[in-house]
Amino acid sequence: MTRKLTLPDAPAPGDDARMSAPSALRNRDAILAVLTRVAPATGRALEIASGTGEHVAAFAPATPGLIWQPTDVDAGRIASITAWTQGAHNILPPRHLDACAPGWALREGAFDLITLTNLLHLIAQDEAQVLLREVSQALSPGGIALIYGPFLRDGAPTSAGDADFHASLQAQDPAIGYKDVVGVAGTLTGHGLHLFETVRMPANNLMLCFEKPV
Amino acid sequence: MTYDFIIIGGGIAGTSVAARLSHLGSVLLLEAEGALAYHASGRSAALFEANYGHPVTVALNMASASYHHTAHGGVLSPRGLMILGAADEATAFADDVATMGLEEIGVDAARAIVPILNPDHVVYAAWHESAWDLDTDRMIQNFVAEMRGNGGVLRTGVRVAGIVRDGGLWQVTVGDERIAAHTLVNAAGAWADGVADMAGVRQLGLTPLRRSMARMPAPGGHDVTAWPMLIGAGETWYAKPDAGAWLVSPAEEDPATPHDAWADDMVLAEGIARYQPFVTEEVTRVTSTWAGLRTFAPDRCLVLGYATDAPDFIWVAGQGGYGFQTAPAASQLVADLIAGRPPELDAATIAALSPARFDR
Repeated sequence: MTRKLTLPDAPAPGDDARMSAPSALRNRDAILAVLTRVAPATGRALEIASGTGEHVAAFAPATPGLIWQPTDVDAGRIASITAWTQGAHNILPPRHLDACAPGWALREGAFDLITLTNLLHLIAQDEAQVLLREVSQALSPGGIALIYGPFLRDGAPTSAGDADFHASLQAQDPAIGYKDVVGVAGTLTGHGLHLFETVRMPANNLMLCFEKPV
Repeated sequence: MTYDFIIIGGGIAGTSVAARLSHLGSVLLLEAEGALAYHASGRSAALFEANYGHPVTVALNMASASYHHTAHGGVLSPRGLMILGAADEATAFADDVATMGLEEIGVDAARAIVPILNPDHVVYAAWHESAWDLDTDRMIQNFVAEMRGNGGVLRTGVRVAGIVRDGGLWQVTVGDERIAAHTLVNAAGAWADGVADMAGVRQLGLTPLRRSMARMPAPGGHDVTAWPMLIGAGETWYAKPDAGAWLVSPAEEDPATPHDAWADDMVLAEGIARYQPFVTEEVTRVTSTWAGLRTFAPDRCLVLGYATDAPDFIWVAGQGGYGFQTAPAASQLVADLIAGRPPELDAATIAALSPARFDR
């Protein structure tokens, strides 16, 4: 499902269909540095919640052995993703995907890499549970899932900026907001994935790196 | 021989349960490392604060208090707890004070207790005396002595290589031996999901969270023995006297893979930087650092009781940072469940601790 949320740095339209989000540009290189280190060399990569498309446009050239499938739930973003990724030889046309609706793993899978950036705090807990289950099912054996974003630790935000953002999200919809890092990691390991690394990222974010056992 | 109970894991969880179960039957306690309490249990900040933790954890703390105070002459010594907040930490400070039941005191009163507090930075302070240091070594020794007194067997340096269910028994492989037991207790800390997987029991989704610590000389050469534990509002750092020296922890919760944890230097530096403005004595030297893994279930509540998908398989896992303070009541509950005795804890608490809560 889509929510109309007011976010601190919503994407702005550019000269053509390409939109640009300040947050996507800020974290792009830090994510790319982890991605190029831990991603499988070859296979199918799924980007959930591609947003503007700026991320996959940078990730794909850096991972030439992967075929990327960008997706988003918001039809309005598809044009932007298309504009950002046109001409890239290892990016498929973007697809509509509601990753919080059950069933897509069987329909779309299997993937050797799945990236999920800055989505969990924008969806409800039950939606997150569905999403994480589908992610675990959509990975092929040996596949890697990279979960990036801000998290609660022991139920609480850990910086003033996080506390403000979490509160602003909950004011807009009490069902959404930051998720506890243990709940997210535990849900995925409970589905059989193996958390092999946690990377501290800029702005107090974390990258949780999971592998599906062969 | 066939044991009544094989317990995997020689930390506080395994030793406490081994002690209780040694009254009910024959016990074999297995520890993979060369010594007991090698991982999380050997790296504990060792505080007993009854109001610290998830509400269900607090119920276990309360039910453990009298044991901590009295059993074997008691394992507690006075420490006290102080929570400190800077100007922009009013909300986090108020939440902590309410949760832990502390008394708000002025900055001057706080400085009378801890003279190194920086009055230019500390705006909020709260304190209570009902927090104690736990003698973790003695707790482990007491439980092992109790187990041995009842004929229980401890083997260290033996890593479980395989677990199968055969002939109505659990068959545990260590080295070239196969050892049988009627009941298997999984008290393997950060490795508990791995032990379950080996036994064909569904994993719970336990997540080890690394927490780093730095030991340093007592600030400004003060005698810190009687100082309370200091916690930054929102648990963004803590500091504590430790045998005449001073510990500072960034209180981080970084998910990790089960391993012999070590401190992350960058995380430590950030944590010390958060602690530093609260005190007037600068941190100039760190004498040692280490880290432990606090392992949590997805709902941050301990997991105590029978697995629902395998016979005679007991979970004693997900202690988080609360293994020592909850051990007396947690191990008592496990023994009561196995013995079929009515537990002292209420039904809602037992249900919240049960592995059955993860059945969907």
